Amino acid sequence: MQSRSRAVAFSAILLLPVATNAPVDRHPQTDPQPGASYTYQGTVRAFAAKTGSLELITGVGMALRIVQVSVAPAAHAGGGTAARLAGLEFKPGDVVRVECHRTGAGLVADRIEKIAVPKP
Amino acid sequence: MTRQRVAALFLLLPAGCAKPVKPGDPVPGLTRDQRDRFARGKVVFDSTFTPATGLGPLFNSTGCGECHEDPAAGGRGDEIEVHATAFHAPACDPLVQEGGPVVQQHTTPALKQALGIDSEPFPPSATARAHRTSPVVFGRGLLDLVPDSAILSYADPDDRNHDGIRGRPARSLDGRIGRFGRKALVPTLREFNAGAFPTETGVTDPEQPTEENIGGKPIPPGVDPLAEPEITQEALALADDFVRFLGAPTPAKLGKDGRRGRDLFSQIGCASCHIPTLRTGASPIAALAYREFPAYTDLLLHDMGAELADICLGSATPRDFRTEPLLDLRDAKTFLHDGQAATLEQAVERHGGEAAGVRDRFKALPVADRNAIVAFLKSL
Repeated sequence: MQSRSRAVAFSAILLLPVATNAPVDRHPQTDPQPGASYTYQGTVRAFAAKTGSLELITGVGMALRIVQVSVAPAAHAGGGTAARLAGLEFKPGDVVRVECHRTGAGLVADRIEKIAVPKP
Repeated sequence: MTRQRVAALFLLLPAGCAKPVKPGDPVPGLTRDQRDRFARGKVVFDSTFTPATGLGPLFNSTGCGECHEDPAAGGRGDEIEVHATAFHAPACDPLVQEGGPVVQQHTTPALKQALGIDSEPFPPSATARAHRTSPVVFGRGLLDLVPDSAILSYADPDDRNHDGIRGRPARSLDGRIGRFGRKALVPTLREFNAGAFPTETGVTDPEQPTEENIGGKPIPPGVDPLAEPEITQEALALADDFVRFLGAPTPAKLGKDGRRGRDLFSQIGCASCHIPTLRTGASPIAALAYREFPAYTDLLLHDMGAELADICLGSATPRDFRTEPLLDLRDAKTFLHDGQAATLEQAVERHGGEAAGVRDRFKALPVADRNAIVAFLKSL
């Protein structure tokens, strides 16, 4: 238990610069440039593990929009672990932070961090 | 009179002589430059948009001032909006894929010609519909600066003090503490204002430069030819400053009944959620920093019972509502989020859920005491 707490604390420290310094794009529809990196933080609308398709609800105020991100198998889960996304599940309502880059096929996730899950 | 008493009198004079903030007034103490921005922002706020200047293709109003107008710019309006979402516990779907939670009631002539619709189609997946009045936006710049820590200090989600009140902070879609909107989805005033342009008028801005889809379908070609964003960053910033600088109206001086009503308001428990005074935190705008102001809210979500329940939004369930700030009640003609209460007594009587106990205590009061509470509320 103690070592798990330590691991969580350590990963929290590792993530801290990401959480505090990285810009979060709160208006995702700004015509992203190919190759550029983007960070989105929002609520999961849908996730299809088989196709690796993640739909995220973000927005500004009440002007909400959907961001579609492809989750490549190599993308790493946040939390400081080396877990691969293949084993992860995202449910509607989960709050996640996605670091991704633009390709010709759209946004591709490089890293996803689960921030919170909805309470039953 | 002793020298100390004379000194105390002089110290108290400025407070006693402070000019009251009337509805629509800016907060006292703005610099000349800030007053200038307030005046220029009011022009943007009162602007009327047309399709040629960005209106639509879906919209609820032609400008901010069309709905926020009574008794002054930034006040309330008599328009009723339609909102819709789908609640699949524990998650809330704001139905962005079907046009989003705000169902716009008007279309531009070009959209009507293209699709033959007068309003946005009601989302077919919605599990609930809600009606929303346009509230006053006075004092919102002050609410924006109430520290998260202050909001959290009022939260009691497990009802540890056994008073039946279980306030909890709302969370935005990205997990921050929400405070704006009837379900407190939006964490900052800037985001609320930047989102209001496209949502309410269909005018895109640099912070939300994408038009909403039409019930989930793309905008037909040629219907919205103006390039995005449809207003400049400066216009958005001016409108934001106008709203930010609107003061919280000073409550009117109380008579004997009003003072008794104020005491009863606290005694029966209204003030457990409608916290009378909040204090702002740090701000580069000195006139807004570290100010106590009449707020009458805790900015938390509360379960208001089955009768008031309508839509979910963000972390708010259908039964949850953010405690409404009680500002400028003196000018209100209808009450509650949906405008369905014709009097303040009706508004109190429709409170349920966590507020059921307080409501029952109100109803059990002698008529004179109930009238005293109403007299107090009408001073706000």
